[in-house]
Amino acid sequence: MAVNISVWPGSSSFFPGDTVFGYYDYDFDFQTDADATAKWCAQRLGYPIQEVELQPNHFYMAFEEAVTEFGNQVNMYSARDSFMNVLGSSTSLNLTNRVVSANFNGVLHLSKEYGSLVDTGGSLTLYTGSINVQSGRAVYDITDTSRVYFETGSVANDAITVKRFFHDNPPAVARYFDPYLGSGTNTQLMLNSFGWGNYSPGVSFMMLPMYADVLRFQAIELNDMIRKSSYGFEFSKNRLRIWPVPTMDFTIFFHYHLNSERDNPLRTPSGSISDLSNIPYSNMSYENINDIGRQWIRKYALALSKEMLGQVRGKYSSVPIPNSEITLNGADLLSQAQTEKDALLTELKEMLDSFSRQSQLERKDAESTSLQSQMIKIPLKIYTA
Amino acid sequence: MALFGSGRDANFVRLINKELINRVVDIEIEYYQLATPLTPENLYGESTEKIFYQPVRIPCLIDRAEVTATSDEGGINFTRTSIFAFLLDTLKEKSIVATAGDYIKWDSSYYEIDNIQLNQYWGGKNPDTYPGNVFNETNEFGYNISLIAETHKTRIDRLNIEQTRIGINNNYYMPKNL
Repeated sequence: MAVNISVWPGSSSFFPGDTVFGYYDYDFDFQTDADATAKWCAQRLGYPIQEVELQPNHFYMAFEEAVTEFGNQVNMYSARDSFMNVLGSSTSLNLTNRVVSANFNGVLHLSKEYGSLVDTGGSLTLYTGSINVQSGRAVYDITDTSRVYFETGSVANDAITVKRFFHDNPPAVARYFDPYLGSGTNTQLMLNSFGWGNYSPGVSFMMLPMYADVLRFQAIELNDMIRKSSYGFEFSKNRLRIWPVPTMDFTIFFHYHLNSERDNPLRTPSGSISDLSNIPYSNMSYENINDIGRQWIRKYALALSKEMLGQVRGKYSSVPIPNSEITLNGADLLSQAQTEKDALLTELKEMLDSFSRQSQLERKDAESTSLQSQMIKIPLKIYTA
Repeated sequence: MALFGSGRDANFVRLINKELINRVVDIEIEYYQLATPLTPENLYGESTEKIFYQPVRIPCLIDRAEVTATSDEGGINFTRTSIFAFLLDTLKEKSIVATAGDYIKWDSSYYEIDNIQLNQYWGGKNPDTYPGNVFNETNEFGYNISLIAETHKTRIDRLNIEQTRIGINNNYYMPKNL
């Protein structure tokens, strides 16, 4: 029994499930256009003058692929335009056919890393640690587990980057009223002379200009610098040397980052947009594609149909006929299909390029410049009295 | 089992052939099949006149040679050999079993079939005899494409199909022996 496979019968009736992937099968517009496109493609390929050795499902498949290709190209260009704005956002969004605000997300994302290093924010946690300083001892090992404590992390095992040691001279304001300071305020004597010395605090009754406080702070600091040992430290590798040599036990606090956190490239939680592969663009709804897009899709479907027909007719380089053989136009069809596909894709890409934010801004700029050059030539009214 | 030349591919070849021969080229001949049971024979098993079934129009491809002329004591004879290539499927559809001795009318001339060639197998396989097909061991493979009829042009008056000499009695002009 000879195998009998029918070819394009002249018309078709689409039913959901007739395409391979079924992305758009339940879209009413797609269902309607599928049959019309199939008929159009078949007639463009020569039917009914010639047989077209394709079946309706071939045309549906080409149509589905063309819609997907169109959506794919548009989405890719949208993704390129919006990538910096959505980097790190949740992948559960659906950006298809949505306007993505031109925010600073991507810029801030990069800036955070700089901010982390200079302690102006960023994405790294700044932890606090402490060293128990011993009287008479100036040198300490930051990995000494008996003296050093970390808020987070292990002193013995975790590498850290110390951002700041809190080991400074006592602030001048703390000794503003130090009776032993020697800088003298003279205010107490003056108040005593008025009989207000018994009130406490006596200075509450004094109104002094701001510069008097500043001058006093400067005097305290200058006094400390000249007459006292300077506070300071030297930190090399794990070795900390502090000045002056402590005369009593106290605690030095410091801020640090954990190097493991700083060097971790995966600080953004999983499920975040990271690259083209997970920007949440999906197949477009066919019903939302306008006529400009639909015409491109039809042409691309025709090119794909032509390619399939070329494959069919080109499987055997020559086909036997009674007492002879013939060569079909498979190679020509394949060549034409490739040329048409390339041309359509190039046209679409150029169009999409011209629709990018950058191109649109450049166009507006050119428009504005041209408009100005036009306006500048319009004579102004001259008023005469 | 072969990879190429399956029933699906054969179907494609069949489609192309049918389209080409039936619709694109569309050269039709009239095939006169000899009605052997109806043809009377004499004592020696010979028949003096031939009886044919009704002619059937069949599309085919024709490879015709030049007309050659030979002269003898009887006068000048014009003859021509031609090859008529039929799609075997079409013959089957029309229930034609072609044999040597049948006649083909084309271009107002009659050609007697001298020889039949039935060996144009696509993929080298005749699906009717290929063991895999016959014993249902494999899917269908191969395709028996054509029937090639090698013929020579014959005289019309030998066939008694058409009245070749017309006298005054026009009322009796009618095809004979059909």
